[in-house]
Amino acid sequence: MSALELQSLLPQIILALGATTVLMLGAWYPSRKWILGGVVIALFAALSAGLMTPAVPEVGNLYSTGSYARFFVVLWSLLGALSLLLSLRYAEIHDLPGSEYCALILFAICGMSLLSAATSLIGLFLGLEAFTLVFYILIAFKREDSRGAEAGLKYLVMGAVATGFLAFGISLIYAASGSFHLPEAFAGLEQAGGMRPLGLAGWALMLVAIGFKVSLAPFHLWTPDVYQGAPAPVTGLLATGSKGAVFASLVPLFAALGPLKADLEQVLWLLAALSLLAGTFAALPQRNLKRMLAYSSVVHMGYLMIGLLVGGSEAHRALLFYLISYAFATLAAFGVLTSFSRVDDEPQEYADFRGLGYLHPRRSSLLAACLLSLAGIPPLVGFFAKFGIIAAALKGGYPGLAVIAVLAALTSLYYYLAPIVVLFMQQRDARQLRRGCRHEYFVLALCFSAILLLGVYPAPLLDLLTGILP
Amino acid sequence: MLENYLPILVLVGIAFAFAVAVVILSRLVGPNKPNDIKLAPYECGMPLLSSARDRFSIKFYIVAVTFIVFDIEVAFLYPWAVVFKQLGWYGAVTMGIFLFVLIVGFVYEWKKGALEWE
Repeated sequence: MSALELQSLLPQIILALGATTVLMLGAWYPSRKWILGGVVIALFAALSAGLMTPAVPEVGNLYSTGSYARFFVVLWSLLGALSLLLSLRYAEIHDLPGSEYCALILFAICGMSLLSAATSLIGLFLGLEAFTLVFYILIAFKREDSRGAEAGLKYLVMGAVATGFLAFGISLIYAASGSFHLPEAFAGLEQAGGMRPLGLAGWALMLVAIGFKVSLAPFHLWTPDVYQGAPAPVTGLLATGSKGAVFASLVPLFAALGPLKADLEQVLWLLAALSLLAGTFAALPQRNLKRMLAYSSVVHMGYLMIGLLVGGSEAHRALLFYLISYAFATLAAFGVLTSFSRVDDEPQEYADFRGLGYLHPRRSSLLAACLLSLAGIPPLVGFFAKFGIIAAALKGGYPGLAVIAVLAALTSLYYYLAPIVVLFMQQRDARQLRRGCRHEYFVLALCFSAILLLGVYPAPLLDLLTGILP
Repeated sequence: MLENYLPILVLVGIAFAFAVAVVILSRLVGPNKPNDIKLAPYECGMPLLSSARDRFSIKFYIVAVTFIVFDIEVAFLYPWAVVFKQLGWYGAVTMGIFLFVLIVGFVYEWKKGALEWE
């Protein structure tokens, strides 16, 4: 690695070294204030990714430093900074070790930004494992909590199996095509002749692993338990960053796919349709907000899968726009959950939310706004996101999927409105106040303004996305 | 193309048949006179202390993890030392980064008191 390559990889190096520094300093001076230090490091990484011109276009044939990769470094760093800010009071009341928590989140951001920048199957594997490994720990971070331990174990066992599938799939693709590097690996697969079935088998294994990581049906069964057991700010990052980073890495992957796409089309169609249907039907009877959001995330992944399947720059732009709108709304929803949490009580069941709309009108309205945005009600950003995906599906010649997507969106109103009804249904005793803190309010206000502004005026973001698409 | 793999398939078949045949033959033909000592698990000739299904202290786990990390470090160090001169500064710096990563982890572990037995 030359100095130029190191300079090009600077944002990720800042994140990794910053995480190590916080971890080491925290061993000598334990304090929860290190979480604020982590916020500064993440912002610093975002700044360096946004402002510095990379010296080389690709580092070590593994990671791109193009504007697409840089955009996602900025996005994941900002999301990570927001979830760190959300965690300040949460770590305080649950007595979580501050520097370790902060370092792990920074490592996770580093992994996500590496994954979104991957230009080689090896880079993809490394990035994916870097943050999955962190989440194994973060999900079970509340050590005394038996639900957290259960969630961590579930994610560990299933994640390890998925990793095996991914590694085996990549090795089969390599065996058939003779290259790990992305355009060449797929081009090699076309000329592979008798080895081509082997490459396709590799793709099948890779799709299983990807399906697990972003919880597409039928690989989604871990999602509700893990969402429920993990600490709320961690769930926020897991639901947005980890799934988003996988999709961000899939867009260039599928853009480079070429004629191979015809072979995968039916499988992708089935994954998208199954996710939309299974997620919707499973979300309907839920009476627990985290579980409901878990199943609804399966539906959202189905929408994103449609964007991936249709392909072309317009559909990919709609996918990225959807991804960003989903990320802000979901992070804000888990942010409200975090700010409602008290020492040994994190509200999840709908019964816990009864009447909170009168005690905490601002935060409850914000939760309602996030849920409505996820449901796709104008003028919030979720509407335009869904509109873009469905329009792309119709233009790309997938009317069947478009119909399923519209029906899923309609049905989703039921399960998104159910918690809102509970929030504002009846008065509640004022002794049950749940105080938040200003860091949480700041994050929530920021997410809310993003949801609203992007919904009213999406043009700048759409222009930006057009500019960065590979 | 697949015909090339036929010998491997034949070999797999022979290996499987041989393994099964040996197990069955030794059960049929061999003498069978068990006693307590013969049935006990073999522990390098030592008398048995207790059942292996006991719960044991989490400290062993940390020691085992640390051992694996540094075991692999040494496994990397040997080939590196052999070609040290050919690799030159590039090899030295790369290995330095690798060692730095492991040492940071070790210092953290030490500071946190994971190595104290009591």
